[in-house]
Amino acid sequence: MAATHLSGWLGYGLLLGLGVFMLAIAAAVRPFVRNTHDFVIAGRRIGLGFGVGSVIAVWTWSMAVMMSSAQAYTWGTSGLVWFIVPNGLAVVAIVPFALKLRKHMPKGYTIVEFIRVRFQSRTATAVMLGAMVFGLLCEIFINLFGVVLVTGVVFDLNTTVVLLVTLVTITVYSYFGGLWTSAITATVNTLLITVPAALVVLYVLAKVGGAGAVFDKVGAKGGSLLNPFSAQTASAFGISLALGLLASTMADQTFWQKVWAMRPGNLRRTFVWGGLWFYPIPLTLGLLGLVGISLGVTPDDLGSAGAGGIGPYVVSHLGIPVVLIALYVLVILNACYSSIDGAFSALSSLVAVDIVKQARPHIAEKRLIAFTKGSIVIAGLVGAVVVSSNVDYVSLVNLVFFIKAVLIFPLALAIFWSRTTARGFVASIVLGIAVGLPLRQTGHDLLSIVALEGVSLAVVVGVSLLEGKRFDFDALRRDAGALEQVPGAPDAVLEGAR
Amino acid sequence: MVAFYIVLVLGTLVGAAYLTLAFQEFKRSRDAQPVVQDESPEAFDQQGRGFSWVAGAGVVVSTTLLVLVSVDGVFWYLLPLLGVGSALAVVVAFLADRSEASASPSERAAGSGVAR
Repeated sequence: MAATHLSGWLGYGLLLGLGVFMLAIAAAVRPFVRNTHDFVIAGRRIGLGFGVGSVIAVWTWSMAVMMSSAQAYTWGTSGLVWFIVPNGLAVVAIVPFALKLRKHMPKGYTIVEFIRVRFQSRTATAVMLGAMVFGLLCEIFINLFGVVLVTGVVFDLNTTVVLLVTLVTITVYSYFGGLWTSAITATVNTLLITVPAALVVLYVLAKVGGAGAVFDKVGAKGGSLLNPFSAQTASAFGISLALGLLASTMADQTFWQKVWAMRPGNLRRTFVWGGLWFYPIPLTLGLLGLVGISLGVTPDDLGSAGAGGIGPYVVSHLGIPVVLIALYVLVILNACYSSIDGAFSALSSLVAVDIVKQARPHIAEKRLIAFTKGSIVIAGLVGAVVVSSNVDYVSLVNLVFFIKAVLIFPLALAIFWSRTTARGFVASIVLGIAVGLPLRQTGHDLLSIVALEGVSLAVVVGVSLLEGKRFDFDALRRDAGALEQVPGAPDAVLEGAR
Repeated sequence: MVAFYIVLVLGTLVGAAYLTLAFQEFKRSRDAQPVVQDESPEAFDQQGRGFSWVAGAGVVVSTTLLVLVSVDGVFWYLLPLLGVGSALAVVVAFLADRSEASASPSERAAGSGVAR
């Protein structure tokens, strides 16, 4: 199949055009932001519409969009089951944790703040802060990789230039409005992902003779490509990915920031709707992987992009109209932009609440917001350096997901079990990684994740029971809210925010 | 190609409603005075009821869709339609915001527990 020739300028035009559009929205949103409290938590005024729209977009990572096609191409429909079902469930599963924390800690901002107040331990807080910052940086890297991949396959653009253009664009518009900008731009992103993805996939299906023809060709390939419950897929990546995904929402400040930013009456609906209505996006785009199978695309055809490149490859090699190819690229770019600006926003909340405010509790509002916004620029620079270097960041991100999975039990128990102690929390993380990581590095994928979770659960329960302490969850209500304004406080404090 | 044109029309309509309602909600959020939110423990306990049924239903529905996709190609057309459904869900969410904003404070306190 010959690739449709597309000018590189179209690629750069899409990257910059979307950025200018988002910047225009950010400029309109700017009046919302009067102080650091508004910047990091949107005044706790985000409603159901922006809540659902932004949760869907923030969870739709660019690589996730392309990985659904890749898993379908590699494993058939069982790849879709194991990739997609836990993905949506991970968002829905945050609801009980969110309700519990918002109930006991209504003035909270970050999950690190919860750990600090809950355990009063510098070690536990530092471990959680390190995990959050590293996780968010990796979220930025992996989404940048998605942009590089799609623009490389479709437009053959230079990696370094793409990275710089993307990072500068997103950093600039994220700088202006914090969480409000992130929520509103992400909501627009959701529209620009869902409808164009449906149109592109339907056109592709029509172009290759209809879904029935593709189905028959995939079936004719034999094997278990149309068996949704293939055990081989479950053991190869399904189970470990499912656990990693559950940890990804629970241990991700991007989600916790939204938990504390929503109007409280909408908390459950936001995450349930967000999780359930996220499903159709990877389901739709996964069909491109099955089309790839039916067309006989080989791994050699995909070259260095690997299976992740199957979606862009199919779209750019079928001779479909340029406008639809551009729409597909826009779907990926929207997924990337929304996830990165969500990560920037979450990172800025950690910097404000858990670093700057802790180091200098009486810092002036003007300086606090300067540090908070500055952290977005620094994260952008770190992203540019890391992704421009020769680091194998896909392996790095897989490693981070594995490590984040160790947080599932200690964090869940810290939220729900009053007897969980700081020592139990830290020891379970350290020992879980100490046992699970070597197993992973020696190729025991399934065993390593089972060991990681098993050890962390046993240690957090065992150590906490031995210590015999109990935590009063009402303390959370008293000790949080570092950036809350005192009602009736003079507006002078707001001036620095502009 | 019929499915493509149906989704093109549906998507355009849903997209127009989506952007209009998003803009209206943006203006309302910008201009509205902050209201005191009901953050009582009971408000959160109430939201937690029946949650596991909803989560379970999500898993069952998404898995069922993938089983159908593995049974016959005709079901593949459901997935892009559901993609437009995701945008429609956000439209419904904006409508819920609008209806909440237009309710009187007492109705809101009695209903969603958002203001008091």
